[in-house]
Formats: sequence, structure tokens, C-alpha cells
Amino acid sequence: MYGLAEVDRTIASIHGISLTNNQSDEVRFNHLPLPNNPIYEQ
Amino acid sequence: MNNKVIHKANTRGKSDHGWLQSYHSFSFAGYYNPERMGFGVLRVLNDDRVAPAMGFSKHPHDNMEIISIPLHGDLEHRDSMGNVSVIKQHDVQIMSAGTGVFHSEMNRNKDLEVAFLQIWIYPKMYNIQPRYDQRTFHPNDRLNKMQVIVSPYGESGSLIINQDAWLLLGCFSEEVIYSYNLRRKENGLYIFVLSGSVTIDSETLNTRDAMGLWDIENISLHIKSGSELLLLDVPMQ
Repeated sequence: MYGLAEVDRTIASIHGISLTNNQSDEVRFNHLPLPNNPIYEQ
Repeated sequence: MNNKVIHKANTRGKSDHGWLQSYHSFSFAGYYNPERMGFGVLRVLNDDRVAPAMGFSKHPHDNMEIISIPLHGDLEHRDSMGNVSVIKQHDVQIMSAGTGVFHSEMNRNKDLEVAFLQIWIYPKMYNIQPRYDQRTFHPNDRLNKMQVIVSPYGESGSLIINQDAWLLLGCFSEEVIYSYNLRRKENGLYIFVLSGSVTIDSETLNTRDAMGLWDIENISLHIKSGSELLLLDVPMQ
């Protein structure tokens, strides 16, 4: 979408933003992917 | 009639990331409480403290109205629209993320923490062109009264938000009984006590406590001297 690959995923997650890769490995983001925040599940 | 919620300060979510200490009025990141998913279009009210020289490096947002209110310290903002600024106490910043922006929020100081409120409000119109604004609000203009800092049409020199929402700050050196008229019948009022004490309908709120009210037209606040308040008058859906 934007240049999301450069974003620090931990910082984004702390800030309520989840970054994911789709099938074409394009990075996308969502606000507040509650209750399943992938960073906090690790 | 059930038209009230009370959120005591010590029931907020807490995040401790070392460099970031945050209290969440509503579910956010690692804090999830299905009873605290927001208040109408108000989705996030975070009470953040960031260690010197630390902060949120570049990250994205879209379709969210993001308001930052520094309480002390200096917060440096940079965004993909080309804005670079440092906001401090008495400033208020708003960003309409719209179709999408990147920004960073860093503590500008190397030896002092920065404390700020961050508020996310769902927008009225989606996919608008991103926009940024900030303003300094003189504290004398909210002494013993409420000062509009954010509104849909820039009321009283306030910042414009892409939502039928009004945010007001007040700083009270005297004991005051303040009557507040909600701006729209579809709106509710979220009262956040920054410091001091307020009594509403025989319920006393202290520092960082909050109360949400809806299906009302008017509310009387008994505000003790030495209190600071943030009011958020927001659509309930």
C-alpha cells in the first residue's frame, strides 16, 4: 500500500496497528485488530 | 434508564513497554476488554508517557481522526504530508488520516519525558484527503470555563474535525457548578478528569476517572477548585 515494509512492526503493534502480508507478500495494515493482535500472541 | 458508564482510573488498561507507560480508557493494542470498545465514535483515549528521546517511529494510519494533547514535555511530529513540528503543553494537534498517512511521534527531549493524551475518533466521511493542523490554546481562555479546542466547523477558533464532535478543556481555580448543553441530540458526553474532582449526579470522579452519558440534553458538573477537565461530545453511532 504505502511503504509499509519499512515500518517497525513492534512499534506499530504497541500503537494499535497490525501489519500483515497478503498472498503476493504486499504488506497491509489494520487499526486495532482486536482481540487477536499477532504481536502479543507470540 | 441506563444512560451512564463510569470508568474509574484504576480500571483502565495498562501497558508498560519500558520507554512507554500508557493507560488505555478503551481496548487498545495488547489490552482487550469487550466492555471497553469505545464510547460512540470515540475509539481510543490513551494517557501516554514516553521516555526521553523515545517514541513511535514511522507508522501508518487511515480513516481516523487523531488528536494529541501534550500535558508536559515536547512531542515531535513528522508526517508524509511534509509536516514537521514540536507540540507542547497548551498545544493541540489534529490529523485526519483519511486515505492514509505515515507519521512519527517522538519525545524531542533527551532528559525529560513527554506526557500526552492521544484520542482516536472514527471519521464522519471516509477516504478524505489527509490533513494536519495544530493550534496553541491560551490557558487563560479556559480558566473557570470550558474552552472548545476541536469542533466540526472551527467554533471559537478551534481545530476542525471530520466528525460531529466537540472537545473542550477547562481549568478551574474556583469551585464552579457548570451546566453543559450537548451540541446534538445524537451525541453523548464523555467526561475525563485530568486532575482534581468533579461531582455529577451524586457520583464523584477524581483524577483520571471518567463518566460517559447519553440520551441527555444537559448535565450539571460540580467542579472543585484545582480541577482540570476534558469533555468529549461525540456521536453515539
